Amino acid sequence: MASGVVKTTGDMAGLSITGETSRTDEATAGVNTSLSAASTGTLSTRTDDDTGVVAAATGHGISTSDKVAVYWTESGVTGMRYGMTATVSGDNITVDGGSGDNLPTQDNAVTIHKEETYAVAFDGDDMSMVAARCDAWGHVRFETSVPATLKAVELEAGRVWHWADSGEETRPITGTAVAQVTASQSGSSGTANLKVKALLNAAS
Amino acid sequence: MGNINGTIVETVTIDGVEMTSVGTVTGDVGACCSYAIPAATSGTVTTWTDANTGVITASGHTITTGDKVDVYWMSGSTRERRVGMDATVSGSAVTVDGGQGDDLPDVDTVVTIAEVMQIECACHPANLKAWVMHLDVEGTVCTLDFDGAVDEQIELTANEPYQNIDGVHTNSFSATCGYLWVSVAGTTAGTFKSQFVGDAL
Repeated sequence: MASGVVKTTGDMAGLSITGETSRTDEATAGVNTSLSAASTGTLSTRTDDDTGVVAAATGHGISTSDKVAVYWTESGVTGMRYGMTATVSGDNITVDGGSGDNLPTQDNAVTIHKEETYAVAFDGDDMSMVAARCDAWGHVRFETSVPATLKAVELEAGRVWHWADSGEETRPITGTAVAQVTASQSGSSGTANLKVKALLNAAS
Repeated sequence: MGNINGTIVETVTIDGVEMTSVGTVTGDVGACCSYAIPAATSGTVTTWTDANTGVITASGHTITTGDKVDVYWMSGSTRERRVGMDATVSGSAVTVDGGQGDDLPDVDTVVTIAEVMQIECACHPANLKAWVMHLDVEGTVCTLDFDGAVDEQIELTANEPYQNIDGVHTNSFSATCGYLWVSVAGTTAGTFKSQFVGDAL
């Protein structure tokens, strides 16, 4: 047996709310890992909303056909695009496709991260609780073996995304089995811890 | 603008893996409240007219004609409820009509009937930054627009906070919230607390 607990404390104008959501179930699945640092760069060419060239810092470590995520801030507004396909020529990385926000204007500073994929095995219908957290601004998606995205979640730095089967919020993943978790982070200064964990009512 | 602050600390632990976040939410408007919610009264469905009309006989109730009431019962191990029903009272017999939720159960089903507490709210949950609600006993919260139409029906488990935090949860609210209807399912009174921070429309 395994347990999951969400403890919440809200404070506002002198009023405090404290509560706890607890579930006990049969199994868990997930990852607890360090995501490598992203590389700094500039969007040196903007072809369209989902195509461009990132002039990245030397040593970016990205290869042609890798899937990458691009993060930026433009005029104080953050944006990110994930699941883009990379084509590499030296430090110039052509990025194409993916999902998320439209690429920023040309010459905008970005960071680019080679997405990291971790194998898991569970069915979304079996979840009684799920949570994810990354130290840095990041992104995680739950995928089938194809891979096809079942659920994509943008993670604020240091903030937990979570769901519990209270019936008040739609189950985030249903149907097809989750075979892998793919994640990225925006930070270029170092690794970032990523935790993804699901509590399950059946072992896969 | 942006002068209302709240702090939300969340710790999720699954199988020993702990994830903690401390979030400060800032918005243009905020509202918080704490109310005692009266206990429901035990009763029985003595007349079943149709799925949303019937008579509940409940000794000792304090419901008066014109009140809004919520009706709770168990279907096996599942809690069912019909909320926002109109009450017409004749002694211990309370005719209930309308509302929304599950179909009223059969004659002779044991139920509880709760007078709804209406709380003025006046917020814009479509622009919410964070909304945390808590009831220390099982119950229901409905959000209503200023015309009295129910937007969301939220079923609260005892001591499990409802939380809708921008960037973390899906915001399902679609209407301006003028009022809340709150009731408890059992025969023990409860305390309801709500904290809302949001941006102006």
